[in-house]
Amino acid sequence: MDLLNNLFLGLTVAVSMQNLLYALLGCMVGTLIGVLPGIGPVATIAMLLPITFHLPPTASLIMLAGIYYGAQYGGSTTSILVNLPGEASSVVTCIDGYQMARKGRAGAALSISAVGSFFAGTVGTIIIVLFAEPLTRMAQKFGPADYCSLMALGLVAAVVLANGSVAKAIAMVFLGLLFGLVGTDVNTGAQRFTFDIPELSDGIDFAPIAMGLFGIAEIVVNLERRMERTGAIKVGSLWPTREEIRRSIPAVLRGTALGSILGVLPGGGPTLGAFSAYTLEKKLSKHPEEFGKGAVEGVAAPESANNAAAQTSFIPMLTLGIPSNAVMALMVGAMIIQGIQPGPEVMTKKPDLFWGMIVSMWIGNLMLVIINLPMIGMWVKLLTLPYRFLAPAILLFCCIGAYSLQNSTFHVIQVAMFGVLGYIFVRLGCEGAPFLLGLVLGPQMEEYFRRAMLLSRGDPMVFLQRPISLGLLITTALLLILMALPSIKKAREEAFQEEES
Amino acid sequence: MNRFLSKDFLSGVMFIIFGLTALYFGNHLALGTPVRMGPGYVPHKLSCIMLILGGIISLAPLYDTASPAEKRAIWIPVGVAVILFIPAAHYLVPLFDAPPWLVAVGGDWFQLLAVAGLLALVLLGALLPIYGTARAKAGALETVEMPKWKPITMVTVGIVLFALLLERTGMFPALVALVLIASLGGEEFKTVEVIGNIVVLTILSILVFKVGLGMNISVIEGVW
Repeated sequence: MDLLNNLFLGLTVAVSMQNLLYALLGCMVGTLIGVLPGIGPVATIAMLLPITFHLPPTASLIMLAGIYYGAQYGGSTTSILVNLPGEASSVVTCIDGYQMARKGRAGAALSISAVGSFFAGTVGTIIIVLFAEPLTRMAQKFGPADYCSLMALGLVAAVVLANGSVAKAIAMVFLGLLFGLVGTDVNTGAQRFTFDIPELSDGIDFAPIAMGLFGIAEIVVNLERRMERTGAIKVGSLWPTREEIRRSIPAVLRGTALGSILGVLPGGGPTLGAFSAYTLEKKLSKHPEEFGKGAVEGVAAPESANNAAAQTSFIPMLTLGIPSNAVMALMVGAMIIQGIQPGPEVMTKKPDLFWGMIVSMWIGNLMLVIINLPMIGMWVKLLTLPYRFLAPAILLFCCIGAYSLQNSTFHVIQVAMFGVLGYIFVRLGCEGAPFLLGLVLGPQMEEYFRRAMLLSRGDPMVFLQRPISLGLLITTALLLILMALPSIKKAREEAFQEEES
Repeated sequence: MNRFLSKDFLSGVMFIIFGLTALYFGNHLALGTPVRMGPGYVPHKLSCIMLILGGIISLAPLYDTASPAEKRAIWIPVGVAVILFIPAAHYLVPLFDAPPWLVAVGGDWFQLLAVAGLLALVLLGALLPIYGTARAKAGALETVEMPKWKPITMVTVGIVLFALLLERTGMFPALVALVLIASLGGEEFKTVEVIGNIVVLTILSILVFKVGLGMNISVIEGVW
């Protein structure tokens, strides 16, 4: 009964005029950036962080969430129509989606992916509702040592899924933790790494770092390469044939299940879900030779999986305060900007925000089907907008946005500095996502670590004596060992190569 | 290709630079004890971890591309020396009348490992070009792509100029400077397009930021 009450509370929050409007805005922006290659959800959310500062907390989180799952929808449109993945998570959709489009079935591919995504999004939302309470209740029993170990697990898991070298990803996590130290030490009031700059005494602001590392660096890298544009294909009838429906239903179900599971895992997310679902379909299919030549399962399964995973990756963030990927780290940042400490308390202290956001996700998914199918022609036209118009516009929004945080030009300078750093990271093949996770979790992790050590009178064994903490640390160690195993190392490298090509 | 220009080696060097910087600027912070940690405890540990990881990341690609002869001639002696150095520094230094900072370095395992890693890197960095080979087979390592300087410079200069102009002259001049310079960073530059872009963006940002979000910034300082 509690659950229904909560859902009702969420519904009343979500259908308020203002929140509906921001959900719609988020979905529109999300679809837009999903369609435009060259800017992803991470960069967009990073750039919009300062703007959310001016909105009420619930509205801002609803909008950011809308951008995230809207991008999954939008990404599929360009994958199918012009063979250009708007997002990493829709790379696999290109393979069969574009082939379907070339056979004149573009409309069918689009509607199957939209309906599949909607179904997956709905299931994902239901899973969040079911798991939110038990997980939160569990998390409330955690002591400081347990929390510290949980964060360690979250950080290590993020590393597993980073591209490239594990050692570099781990180093990036630590670098993020190091940057998180800047500011006034909570326990003693000492200034750390502030270089007597008053703006730094509250810590480096999250938004300029995220904007610089993801927004600016991405623009620069895009400016370096020439962006190719190809003509769009005619959409054709949106109605799939009976045969196509029959074949896609089981694929949607399997994709949703797989995506939901992979989304919850720390470090997981839409991209992993989509890739795994495609591989699974190919293995299970009676006609594996059709894959790559326009198999409808090859569109239905990954599109459902990436949307399901986009939804369920909210679970660890909402219940435990542990972000599982870069977008979730940004959501944590957005909450902190609003003065909300993410964690199990959010559900009990701010039930309207918590349930309102969950219900609005479902509403957002519904909106996306409506936005996407009839308006496909408009989105396709946007594809012809050259990047040289886009880049200055994005830069400008970053700069004014950063300034608006505290009306300080220091923040704008910070954006430029972190832009350069982000560019160096890209050139050296260091992933930004682990850095961001380290940065977000750093301050909390230090506090829990110091509190745990104080409670245990300086004995680090406390992390091994508490059963929850021990279990989490063993899982962390297992993950690290697994990654070092030669066979897994090879499979991991192959998976990422496939992703890049 | 040069073994010292691989992505991995240079990333390791970057991590080491960050570690050393943090160590230097965090030097004045009190370390405290594990029970009552001072503000410098966690930064100090993190800096050391940064140095250790940086050392591992830099050394790995050098080792991977070493010939068997080089491993015998350089890697094994250096490795033995560094591994012996760790217990030696920890147990022997306090026996002699060593300066206190040396005792402090030797007493902390984290710091000792970091120093050992740096030592190995310095020794190998000096010995490899002289006795081994500084070059690896083509394709054995991922080299750093030479950056194109124009986009990154133009974008950075544009943002910094925007920051300097914004409060002094208002949003419009800052916007013009940013859009103009950023457009110069791209491949194509068409004057008409850039002017059009400036007009559209000016209207858009006045609508979004000044009217929509009610931000307190002037469009042209002193005028509006």
